[in-house]
Amino acid sequence: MVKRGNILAGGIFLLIGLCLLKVAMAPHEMLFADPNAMHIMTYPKILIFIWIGASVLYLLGPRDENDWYDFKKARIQLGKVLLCIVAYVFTFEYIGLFGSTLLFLLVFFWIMGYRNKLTVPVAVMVALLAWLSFEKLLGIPMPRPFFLALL
Amino acid sequence: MFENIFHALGTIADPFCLGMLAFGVLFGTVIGALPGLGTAVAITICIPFTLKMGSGPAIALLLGVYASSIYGGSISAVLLNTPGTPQSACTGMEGYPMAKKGQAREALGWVTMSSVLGGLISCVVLVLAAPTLAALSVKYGGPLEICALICMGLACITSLSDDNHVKGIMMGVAGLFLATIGNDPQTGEMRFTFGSQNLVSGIDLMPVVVGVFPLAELFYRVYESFSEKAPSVIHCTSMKLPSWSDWKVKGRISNLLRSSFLGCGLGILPGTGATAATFIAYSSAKRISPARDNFGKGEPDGLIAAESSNNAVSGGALVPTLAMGIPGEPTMALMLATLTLHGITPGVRLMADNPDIVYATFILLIMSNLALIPTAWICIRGFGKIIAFPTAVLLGFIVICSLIGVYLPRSSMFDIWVTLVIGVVAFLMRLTDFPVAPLLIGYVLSNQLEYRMSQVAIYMGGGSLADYTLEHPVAIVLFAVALILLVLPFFRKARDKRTCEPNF
Repeated sequence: MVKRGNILAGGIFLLIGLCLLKVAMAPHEMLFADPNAMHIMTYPKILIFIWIGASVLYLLGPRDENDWYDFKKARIQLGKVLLCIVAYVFTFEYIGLFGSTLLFLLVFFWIMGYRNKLTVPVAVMVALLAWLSFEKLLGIPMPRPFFLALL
Repeated sequence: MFENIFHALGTIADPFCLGMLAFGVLFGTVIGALPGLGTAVAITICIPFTLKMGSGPAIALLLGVYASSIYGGSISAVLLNTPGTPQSACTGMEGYPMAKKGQAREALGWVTMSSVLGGLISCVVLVLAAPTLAALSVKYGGPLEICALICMGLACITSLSDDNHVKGIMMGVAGLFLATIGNDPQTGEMRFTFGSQNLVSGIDLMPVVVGVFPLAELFYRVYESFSEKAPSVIHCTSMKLPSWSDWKVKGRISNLLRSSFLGCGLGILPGTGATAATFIAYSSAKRISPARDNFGKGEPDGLIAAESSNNAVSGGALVPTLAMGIPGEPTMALMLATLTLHGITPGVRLMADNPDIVYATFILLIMSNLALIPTAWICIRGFGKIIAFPTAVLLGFIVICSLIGVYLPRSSMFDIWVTLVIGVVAFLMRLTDFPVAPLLIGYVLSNQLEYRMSQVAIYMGGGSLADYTLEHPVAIVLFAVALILLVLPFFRKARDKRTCEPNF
């Protein structure tokens, strides 16, 4: 079981290396360079060769003995947290910093089990703090909520 | 020199700069005291806030966080028996038994004073060593020597991946490769963009930093929350600083000096870091100290060794970063990156072009260490509240600050998506014992390595690399050390395997 995991990971590493090597080996013409200058693909090629060599050593080397039992228990929670962050990034572009942060915090707190009478006030306060410090105090331009354009 | 010191004082004698230093020390101590969140996470959270500041306040904030977060971890090690940072593991071995015996105030006093003194000794070493190292770099620092030095640094870091040395090499190479994506800095031609406009300017530093540290840490905390047990807190709201008579006990001052210099020395070496320094200093004190029989039962000598060494690393680690632009540990890579964002390029030229910045760094580090004493009073008093702070709120705040920090430099949503991918990959790597430090250090050093390699190619003028290398003995020595560091773990493993095999 453990051995299979090692071969799978090592195989993926090797495949990545070979794909990158194929890209690096494709002809690249250097237009504006010193005739003695190093080719732009020389350095990446060196790195890819080391990567492929290390992947082979990893495949042949000692087997990993990772215990995935805890991971299996936690994967649903991890999935929820990841989905919550992905949703935050999506909404960030459309409803702006304050709205997306508030929504994210409410969902995130709920997922993490922080559910009491302080949940909503804390989420509003943190979102307000983020908006004030980044948009107002530091004056950083953030995405504008789409509904502002409709008004 | 004195002129530079006065210029530096002029840079930092600004209420905003001093305020940032005080805030940084307080923030670093609090984050350090929270188990699981380390120095790198604390610094990453602060980076977005520094982007709109001048270089003086930005350095003050980051140095404050850097110098204090290790100390913060020691408070939870003493009162909770859960080190806030890995560097404080040995502190818990002595501090918690002392606290259980009703000597929590004394233990915290020893921890605070040893940290401050260790930090100050390292500042002296930094002030003396950084300019000397920079001068040596000017004399011997040709492109081939710099290449060799970077290779040696990376070899040092990868060789410390205890379980599987190959994993360290792979992560270092992955970091070096990530930096090659986008347009080539020398010719402007595209590499590995696969036709995507978003990849033309490459993968920015912030997505790598945030993905590798705070985001991976968040996933890890969620993962760990399934097996964590609630620790019991020892109630203590003050500390008792050791008196001169406490220090005069045989062997304590020599222990302090030995551990501090050990921490400094290991800080200068790439890859070793504060955790290794602490364990080496602690075990050395356990062997040498007159009170060695009390170790593990609550012995102040153990606290002095652990705390002075881990705080002394801060000054030592700054030496190669400032003098040569080569970071020895991930937190130094973050500092280096932030300085670069502010238009300051650490390295040999920094000493010559911006001596005021260098001297301001020296003074700010000394002030950060001194500020630990008043901060300790505040944090110990409020430790119960710090620990009781809801994890969900803290993690939510970290996600927001980190992702906005990624968005800020280029206002790019693509960078945030890259961060998420790197975060998930870094978490999986951490689960499978792939070290993430070589990835970040490789990424930071990659452009410099490639630039120096292209310089070597031009200097060779079509000649042979072997002939060119033979003209540079310093580079040969450094390459040899790098090779030994890379090969040695394989030999050691093979030898261990041979000795373990039963003889029939």
